[in-house]
Amino acid sequence: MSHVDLTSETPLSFRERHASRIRQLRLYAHMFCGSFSSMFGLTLVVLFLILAAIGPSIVPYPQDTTGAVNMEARLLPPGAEHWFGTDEMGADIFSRVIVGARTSLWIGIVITGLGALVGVPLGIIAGYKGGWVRACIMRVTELFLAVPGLALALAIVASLGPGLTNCMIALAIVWWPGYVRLVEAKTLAVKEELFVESARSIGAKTPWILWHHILPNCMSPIIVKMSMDMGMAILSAAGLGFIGLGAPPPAPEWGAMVSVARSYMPDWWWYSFFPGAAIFLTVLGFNLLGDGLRDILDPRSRER
Amino acid sequence: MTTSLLDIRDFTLDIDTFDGAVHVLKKINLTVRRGETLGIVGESGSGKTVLVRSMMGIGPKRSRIMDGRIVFDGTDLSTLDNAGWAKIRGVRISMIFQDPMTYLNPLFTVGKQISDVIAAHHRATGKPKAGKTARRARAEGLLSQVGINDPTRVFDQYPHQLSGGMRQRVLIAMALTGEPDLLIADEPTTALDVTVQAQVLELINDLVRTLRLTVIMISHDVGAIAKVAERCAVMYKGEIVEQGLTKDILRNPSHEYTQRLLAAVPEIDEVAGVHSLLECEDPAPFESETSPAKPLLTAVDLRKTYGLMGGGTVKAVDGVSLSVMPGEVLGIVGESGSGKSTVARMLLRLIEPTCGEIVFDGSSITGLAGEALRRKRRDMQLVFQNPHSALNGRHTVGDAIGEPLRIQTAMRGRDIDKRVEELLDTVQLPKAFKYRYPHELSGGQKQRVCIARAVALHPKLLVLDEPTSALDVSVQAQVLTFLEELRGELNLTYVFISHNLAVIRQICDRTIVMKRGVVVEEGLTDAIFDRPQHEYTQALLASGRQTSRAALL
Repeated sequence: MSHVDLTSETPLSFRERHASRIRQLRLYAHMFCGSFSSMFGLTLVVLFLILAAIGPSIVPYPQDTTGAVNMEARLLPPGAEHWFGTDEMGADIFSRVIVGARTSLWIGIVITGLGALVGVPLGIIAGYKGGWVRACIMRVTELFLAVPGLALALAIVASLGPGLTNCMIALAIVWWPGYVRLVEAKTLAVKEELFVESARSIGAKTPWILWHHILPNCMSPIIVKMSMDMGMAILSAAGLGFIGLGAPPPAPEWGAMVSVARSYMPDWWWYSFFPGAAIFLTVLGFNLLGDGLRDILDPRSRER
Repeated sequence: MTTSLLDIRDFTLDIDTFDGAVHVLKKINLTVRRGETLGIVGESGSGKTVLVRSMMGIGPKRSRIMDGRIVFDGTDLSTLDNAGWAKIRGVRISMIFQDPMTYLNPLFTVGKQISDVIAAHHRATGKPKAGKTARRARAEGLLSQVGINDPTRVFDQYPHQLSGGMRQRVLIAMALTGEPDLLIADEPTTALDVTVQAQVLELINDLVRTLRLTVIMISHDVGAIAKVAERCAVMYKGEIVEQGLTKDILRNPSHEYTQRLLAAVPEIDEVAGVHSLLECEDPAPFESETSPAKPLLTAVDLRKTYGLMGGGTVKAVDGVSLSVMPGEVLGIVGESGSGKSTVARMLLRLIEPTCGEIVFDGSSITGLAGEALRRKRRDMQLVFQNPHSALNGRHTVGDAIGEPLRIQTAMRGRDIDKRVEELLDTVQLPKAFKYRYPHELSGGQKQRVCIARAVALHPKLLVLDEPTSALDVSVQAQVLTFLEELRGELNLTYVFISHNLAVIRQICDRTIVMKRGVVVEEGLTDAIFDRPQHEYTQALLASGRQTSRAALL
């Protein structure tokens, strides 16, 4: 409970007005910090974001990320000169991995963003409207969910032609049904709440109810799913890159790098190890972050 | 000679929270003798449930016993481990809960659930496991012990096929399987109708007599406590402020809180002060049949029929007609399932009536749709039963009160802010509350916010659907008084729905009694209460009087 004097007539300061919000955030922070795995996930994600933001300007060999060839330095093992070694073109793997973070982040944001942008409104409408609207939306959703996502994406990229943009479009197309499912289920629960009926009784229109009452109460699971999906989307894009449908070389894309490096295993292990580790740590980070967010946002899994 | 069965000494309990430890129980001293019934009265948040749960070792997580002990029949419960608890919990001390539905598993038959408990007891006490037929016989025996007439049939039924009272009986039967010494009843009748409540209390009394059971019953309802408990303790903010013989406490409460609590209990046979005063000032319009006053709201032959899954239909409301005069308070009383909430929602067109006609303020609203209906909603508002779920937890109080203004008027920004502050003033809450979130408010404050929201658009009619049944007695009294004041201030007409007869008596001018979707009696409140005509009304009043204050003294 707050200790603010509520009876005073003087205008309240920002801190006092938002005391509840601040307390809530402090509680979240407290719970989040209490869990090692959440903090570890957050650290990885923050590191990834920093690299994506400033990576290209701090790497030691920026020209190597755009396809510079230096045959004298090909396939050098990790050392002081080249921390992660070099690849078959003599490019610095450290530089390429770091610059690749930006591509991966872009992929993750676009895919989950598009997925949520399409899926969340469809899910809310399906859950709130019910009837044949819901039946239509949900059957189409199930149709998409019934086909293995990556296989469908593969088919789409194959027909659109390889490339990073097409790869993202394909993955976004297979990504939205998950959001529809999640949001529809949540909406079905929220729309039975009294405050929705209350809003209806004061004459609120459906869009108002959806925007002000249903959506805010669906946000927690959406945020959690988006955080987890960032990792999954990066992994899927790397998968498409691995089979050659992603960014064309020499673009520093992690999946594509592992794909090329595959033929240099195991003698030149560093070539596939470092991009692989980058994918692994990023996906792990987003998943742990998502887990941590779920723990603090979902009241059922909370101990208090 | 009676020995003490349960002895609580200086029991102090803290619960750790993010904001630091909360002292939930402070130096509780309580003794329960064998064969005695002890009542614990207190408001929500007074710590009574935490206290009895600690007696069962199922206290809240993160709770710490700071001091004191609970001694049950020579064993100190505060030091028991799991193995020790297994011999006590459910075997020697058992518990029944407030809401019988949530404590029964809907997927299994009643008989199966009781049999499982019997088997568990045999395991816990090391007795050989009884056969299926033996357990069935035992379970049916228990069911008939708790006053179920045909245990054989009930044995094979699922919880949803039973009424609330029956479910509570089943829970009691379950609690009795271990032949416990001590039965803890946590608000056993709060979720039940008046008539059923009286029966369940009767049953507890019978069990105490026939089985020499020791009972601790907690309730916020002083009437219910007085019916079963010879001794009682009053809890307030984690302390026992008063204990002794129930009769003495009711006759001359010594602590100031107890006095307040008792004064707040509405009385069935007491013509309320406030509303009779209002009546004197302004002779009720409905009495003068000759006056040209037109009713504000008229409903003719409202019906609502629901189709069932297997074909067939259920008539939730079956031909209800009513009219409400401007400035009047019309009460609708009935037990759960009588269709009163459905009527309320149909009056406001929140549920479509299957057939019937509703005339509001001179024009029919039955056929209205879309924009026209939306405009009409300004004039008629609903206040919900449960203020805790009627407010969106993600909106501040200011947002909640401002919402109708944003939706229905052209007001923006500053104006809304100003009006919200005015409304908070009207409902007697500090202005700074607009920055608070609903979960930070108490039940009574939340209900005030709901009312402020409902009156924001200056409606003519307010339909109140059990506005006080989720609140504590003392809060209920405040809210009722406040509603009376507000009616005078804003010139409102109320349709007041309640299952609580005393509340109806206190606030309503005219009352209709509903049973199974039909109006069985209708008339002036005083006439109905003093000279009930229909036998259902008589039964309702009789059970209501059993737990009323006058019956206790």
